Amino acid sequence: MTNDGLKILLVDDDKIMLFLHDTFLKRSGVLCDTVLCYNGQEALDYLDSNQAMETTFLVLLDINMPVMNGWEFLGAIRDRPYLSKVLIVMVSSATEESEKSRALTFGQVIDYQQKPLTVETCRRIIGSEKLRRFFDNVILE
Amino acid sequence: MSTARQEEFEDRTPVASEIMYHDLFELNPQPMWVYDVETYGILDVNQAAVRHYGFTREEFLGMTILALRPETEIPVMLEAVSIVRKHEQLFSSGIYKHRKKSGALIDVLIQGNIVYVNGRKAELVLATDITSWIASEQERTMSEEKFKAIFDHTTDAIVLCDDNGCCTDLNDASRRMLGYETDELRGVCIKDFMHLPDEIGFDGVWKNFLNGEILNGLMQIRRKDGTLITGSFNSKSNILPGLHMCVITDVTERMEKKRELMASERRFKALVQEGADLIAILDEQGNYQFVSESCYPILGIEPSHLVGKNAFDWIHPDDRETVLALFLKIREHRQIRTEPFRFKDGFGEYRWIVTIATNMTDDPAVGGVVANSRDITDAVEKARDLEISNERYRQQNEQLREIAWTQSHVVRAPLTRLMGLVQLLQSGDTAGMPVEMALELIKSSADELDEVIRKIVSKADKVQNDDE
Repeated sequence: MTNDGLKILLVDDDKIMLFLHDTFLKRSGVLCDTVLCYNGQEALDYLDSNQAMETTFLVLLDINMPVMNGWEFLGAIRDRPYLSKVLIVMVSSATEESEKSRALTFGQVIDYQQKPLTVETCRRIIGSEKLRRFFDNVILE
Repeated sequence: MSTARQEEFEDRTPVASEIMYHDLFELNPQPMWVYDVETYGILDVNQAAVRHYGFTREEFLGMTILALRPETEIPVMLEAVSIVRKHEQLFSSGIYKHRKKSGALIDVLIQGNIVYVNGRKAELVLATDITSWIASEQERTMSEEKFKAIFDHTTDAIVLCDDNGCCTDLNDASRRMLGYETDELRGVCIKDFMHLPDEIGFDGVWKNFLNGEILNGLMQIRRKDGTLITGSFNSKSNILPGLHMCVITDVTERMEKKRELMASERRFKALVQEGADLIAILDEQGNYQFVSESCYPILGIEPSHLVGKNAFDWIHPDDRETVLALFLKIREHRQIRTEPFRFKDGFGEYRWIVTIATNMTDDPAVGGVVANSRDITDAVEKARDLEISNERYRQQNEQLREIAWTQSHVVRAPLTRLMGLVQLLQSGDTAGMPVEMALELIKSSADELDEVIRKIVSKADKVQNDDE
């Protein structure tokens, strides 16, 4: 069963990591489309071009990326009121608490996770209370 | 001379002795006259009287003796003449005031004797002008009284001694100073209360004194109660034959204050001249009026080299304006404190100085701005070294933070990839990825991780070497 109201964007410049996260996400049981982007700019372009969709986007966002890093992406989203429904989970290899604190100052960031994601982590993200507020019927297998 | 004898002389030629006696009257250098005691009319007068009183002989002979007296003296004269009238023979004498023709009053000693002229009772008068003598006597009396007053009322002790050094007279100040009654000291030798050093014998000193040596200086004097006071004495021998004088001033308190002042000056010197701070007094334009001796050890500049010069000429040009602006506020604020500024020393090098300046121009004992300066060059250099050290540590910290960041991001990138790939392999389903490819990716991630760790170690070594 799919959830047409949700799309998950995986944003990372590391293709292997994108592959792994996409795999683990699907194994976690979520039934929605995933879109793979290699930097923030690609993700932003995708969201801009699909803003008319009756879809809410969940972005799993890496921080350190070329072209547009995660922080720049967050700033760009904040400057686009029409993307206010976009929800973001930061996924970073950084371990500093300061990075996490900084990320959570952005209103659309609902979680911060360290790489690599696991199947269990993906399941917790999708089933989190914060995400449920937006999706009453997040569908899990 | 009796009336009978006088009548006898009138009818014959006078003998030589008579001429001699007449000359004794006529030519006597002292004024003389004869007057009728009943009528006061002047019967005869000699040349000296004419010269001294200024009346001609004819004027005299037409006058009474009343005309020779000032109005105030007339009652006295009448009383004297009334006494003469009562006696047949009387030698009288007295001091009176007479008036010359010029109106000038003179003091005269009148000596009179009763004579008879043509059977009438008269008095021969010898007048001696004692005006100058009385004036000199009055002057002498006043002088004596003045010196007695000085003797009695001076605060200095005056001791008069005889040839043996025994006190013959002392004033009240001596009594107060020595604590004795005057009578107790009369006849006492001054050596009994002079406290001479053991090596100085009184007899030798006294002998030299009597030979004309003037003794003066300080000496210890033992009072009756045994206490010692310090006296400044000045002695003079033979102020009158066999009479010697010693004037003593009690300087005990003065000496004590002098000792206290000297002690105070020594403390001042220790604090100001030999202290670690540079003390100076400047006028309101910043010209040095006084510079403490500590100037040379601190700045290598002789104090005399600074006196009269302007302090701002020694201040570093970059600091001068700031210090000058602050100094000009000394008129509004009694005290100012400078920030550290540079002052050129005697070797041409700049020293870092801080100064507290206090406006004491209103204090006549100071009359200027007191500047208390401290050389803080060493402290400034240490602070600068510390700043450099801190900057080095800051840079090190920056490098360490970069290492930490690298560890966090660069190290963890291949590591997380590795962990993810292992997780994938462990699941038994590689999601379409060939196992060989997964293993190759694990190896490449491990190599990448190895390379990153090597770089971190190398960078850490570099940071340590730079620090050393």
